Amino acid sequence: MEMDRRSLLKSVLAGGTLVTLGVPSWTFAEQPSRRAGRYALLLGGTGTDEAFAQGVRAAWMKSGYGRLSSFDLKGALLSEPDEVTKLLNRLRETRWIAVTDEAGAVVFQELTRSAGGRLLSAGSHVACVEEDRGVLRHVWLTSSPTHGVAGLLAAQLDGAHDTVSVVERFLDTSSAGGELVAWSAPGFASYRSAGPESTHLHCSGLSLLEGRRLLGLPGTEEWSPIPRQRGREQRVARPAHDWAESVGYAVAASAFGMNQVRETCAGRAFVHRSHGGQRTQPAARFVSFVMDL
Amino acid sequence: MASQFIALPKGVSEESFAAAIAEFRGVLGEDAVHVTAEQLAPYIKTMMPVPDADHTPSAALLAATVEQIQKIVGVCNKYKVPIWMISTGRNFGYGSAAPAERGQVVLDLRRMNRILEVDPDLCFALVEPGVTYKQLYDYIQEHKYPLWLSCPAPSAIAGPTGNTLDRGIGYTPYGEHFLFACGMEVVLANGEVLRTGMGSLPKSNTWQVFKWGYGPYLDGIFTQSNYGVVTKFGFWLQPAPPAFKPFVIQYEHEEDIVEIVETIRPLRISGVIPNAVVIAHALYEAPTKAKRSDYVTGPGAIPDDAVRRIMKDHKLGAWNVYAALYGTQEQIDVNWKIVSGAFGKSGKAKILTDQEAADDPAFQYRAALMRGDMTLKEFALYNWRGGGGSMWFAPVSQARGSETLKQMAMTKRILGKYGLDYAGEFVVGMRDMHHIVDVLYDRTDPAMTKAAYECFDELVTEFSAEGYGTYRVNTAFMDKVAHTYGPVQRQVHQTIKKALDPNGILAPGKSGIR
Repeated sequence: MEMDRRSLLKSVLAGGTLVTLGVPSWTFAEQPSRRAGRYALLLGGTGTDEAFAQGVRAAWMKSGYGRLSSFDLKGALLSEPDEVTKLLNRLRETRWIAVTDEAGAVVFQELTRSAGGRLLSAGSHVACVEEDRGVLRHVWLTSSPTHGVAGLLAAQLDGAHDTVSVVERFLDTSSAGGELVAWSAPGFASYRSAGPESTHLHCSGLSLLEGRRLLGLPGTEEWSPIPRQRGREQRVARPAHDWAESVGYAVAASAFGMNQVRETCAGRAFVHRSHGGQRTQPAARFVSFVMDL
Repeated sequence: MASQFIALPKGVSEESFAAAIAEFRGVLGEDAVHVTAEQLAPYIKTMMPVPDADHTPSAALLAATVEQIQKIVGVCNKYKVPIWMISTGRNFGYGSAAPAERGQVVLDLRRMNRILEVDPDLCFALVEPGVTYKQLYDYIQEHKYPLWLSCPAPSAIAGPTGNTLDRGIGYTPYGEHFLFACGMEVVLANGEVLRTGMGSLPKSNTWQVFKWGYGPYLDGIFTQSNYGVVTKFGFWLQPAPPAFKPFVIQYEHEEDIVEIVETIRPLRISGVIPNAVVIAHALYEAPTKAKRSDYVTGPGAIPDDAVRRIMKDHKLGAWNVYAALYGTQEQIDVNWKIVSGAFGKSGKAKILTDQEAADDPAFQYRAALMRGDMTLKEFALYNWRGGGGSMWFAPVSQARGSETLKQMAMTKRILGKYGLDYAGEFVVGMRDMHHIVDVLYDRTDPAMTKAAYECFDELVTEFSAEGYGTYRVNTAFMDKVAHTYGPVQRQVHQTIKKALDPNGILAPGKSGIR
């Protein structure tokens, strides 16, 4: 279902043509173990909406889920936040996959918190040029390794013509002390920092030292190699046409429960540097969310 | 053994905290006590250049009544568990909803959202802390009361209690919000309920009309502090004026700030211009119209020639003065002659009225703020540099041209040293200026994040060395700013804290007070 903002708002105001469910006395987000009855894609009006949505749709096709609603807000987060709140309140029991600009992200996160939402992941994504090199940076705050996204994106980096860093920090680190599970993929060397809340660092095309420097990690920490974990490689068999599309795919794949490698760590980072030809991306920035309401 | 909590309060064991959580659940019910990562993640958007882990809460409590809060503080005292109070939690750029210290329990008051009274004759409101400006705005519209609000920039989603308690500002004649606060209800750390001012008197009907009560005036100690949980808040509302005339005056050069301030001060002190005037730099307004990446790429602060191109392309001044006249049409006509005459003298000012600037997106949102309407357009600032980093640097200045030029030049120099842009504005009180600068940086870039931290630290250090105090600051820098005000004030703050909250359960670290 594709809707533009005008029809979205009209539907919400009409109170029924779009959604027949009211707000139940209990909410989906409050269920300790829950399975989304509905998935929805919210496009906030960024220049990368279309590419991100393509990635989401590709993951959705692979997931086998029956329905993915799509809402194009075209900037309504700033101009009509009340209407967005009405939409969120009407579409309960929904797992939202959202892409917004930075300004919209601030408002979206606040609206969802007020509506009782649960945040599974929030990612900041930047493409820019530094010292004539294309640079892609991704930083996620993710509730737990179950909802990890970074590994799904990193698995698409093979052949990327940029310098890429992907950082993900988990809020729930209770698994960090358990049996070692680490992401691995061809071309990456993996390391873990010492201590009970270890960070996993996966480097491709650059050394551990260079990787740490790129990420601004302190030089005092001790790192040890993680042996390759056979059978736990993260594989994503799809070509990445566009970096925003890759992000959309990774975010949606995580939202649909396709993340199979749940690393036991407090945080992880992936760094990749291409030594081949550079491809400069147009400057772009956006924020992604996976949220249950 | 792995913890069942994503963080623990400082000095509190897992077992003690689990026992406290069980008691909180007994008070509030299961669904109002949040401890999972997914539930707590929405409270973490600090925007500061420090790790999120430094400000991760251990739990969030959604209280709905005063009685529940009284019981919560009882549990907190029993287990020495600290709580961090938020009303709506929209303190963007100052720490948002996240606590000052890792492991503090967020006491989220958004469910206390009753509008208790709006008096259209005496023009006041009494609200609970979870009431948003939009909620109150809709209430006033619905009841057709001839009253206006005064809102900060995140108007629609923020609330009057939290904004005023943090001594926030708006843009109407009631823009210095705490000046118009009148009466609070406060749950103290020992569970007692205090009503300030006339509210302590049984049967009083003057709680929201007379501020001072009898004896020492107490309301001030509950602002920017951690001495109590404010559960009701009274404040005055502006009568809707019969006529309203917003305007913008543009100046071409940064040095013109001297003339602007010298012209405005007498008009503001005498009340000819009644509202909290904004003198906004071009880069504060540009995000509503332009993309930074269209003018500059790569590291470093935006150069002056790019700023000039933005000004030319988007019809901005180096400084853009937004003000308004309020009253009857006759009053406005008389005052307009005075204002336009004063600004027209030097020939440097370009004066634009509502008719001439109506289509300008920056003017539209500024005009909305000056009449207390809901708009979130200022949030476009967050798209300027991108990457989610924002800290408000907020020193106070005299309303004197030479002082504002000096502060602007200092700020721009220090920001430039760290490769950051000057996006600042001066909000004019009568004799003071709130110099508000959004220190915008890319949190995904480790080098820029480090630079932003060092930059902010230097700003606070340099400004305090010159005698310029910061009036409000984010949670990562509260201790540093408290230190700049000297040991005696800090000791007095701490003495009051010890007297009112001996176990230190209420928001330790707020304004550097523990």
